[in-house]
Amino acid sequence: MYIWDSNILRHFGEEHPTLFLHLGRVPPSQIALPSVTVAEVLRGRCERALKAEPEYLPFAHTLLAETLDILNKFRILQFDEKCCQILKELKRRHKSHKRYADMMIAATALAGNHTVVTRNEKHFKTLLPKVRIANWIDEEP
Amino acid sequence: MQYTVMLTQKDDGIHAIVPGMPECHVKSETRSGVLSLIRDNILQTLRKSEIVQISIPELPEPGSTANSETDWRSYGYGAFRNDPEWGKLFDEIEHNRDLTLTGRERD
Repeated sequence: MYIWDSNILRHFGEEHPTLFLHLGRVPPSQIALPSVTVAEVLRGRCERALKAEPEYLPFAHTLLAETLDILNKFRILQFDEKCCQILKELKRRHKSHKRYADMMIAATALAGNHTVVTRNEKHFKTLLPKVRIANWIDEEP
Repeated sequence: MQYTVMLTQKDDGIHAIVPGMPECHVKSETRSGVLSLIRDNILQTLRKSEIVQISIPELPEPGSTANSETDWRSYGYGAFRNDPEWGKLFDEIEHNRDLTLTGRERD
């Protein structure tokens, strides 16, 4: 299974052509969103839906609804107990500061032998084996 | 094993090449001389070489819609291309990740 980092969802929404080439080779059943990505995207949409100026609120709530609709079309991999154990192990192993969300996504990948699709390969290369990282934006299939 | 050798008369002598083996290229004053040299050259090249067969996946024909089995637009591909907030939202996600680091909280 390929699990998408948030930046891939960004380019998916923006119609990135190289990403589209990869999508031609992978069926939707092989793609999932880690619940960390879902949480990050919803947080952004919810912040606006709760804090926007009055005239912008209807638009912000429309975007929230549309985003929910799209997220729901994907399989979502929930961060579970197994991910939690792996995350703790990753934290033990990596004493230097790491971005917490990157580590959570890496733990989700390791828990299910998944591949992380990301544009931020450098943030994952110390957390995951190279074969478990793919960049569908800068590398053509 | 038979090899095809191409002999070409040039100003500085007879040149011999082997099609498909760009490393094999010799020259000599005489026909028999150049044939002898190219034979040795092929042998030496073969001793250092290995021939393997590899498979390359077929490329889709130009213009074909390899994605036609999945309508990615129904999944939201391109859905936010005109939404100015979409890019900002992900810039904020990156910013928040930079701020939320491991090793800072009590373990």
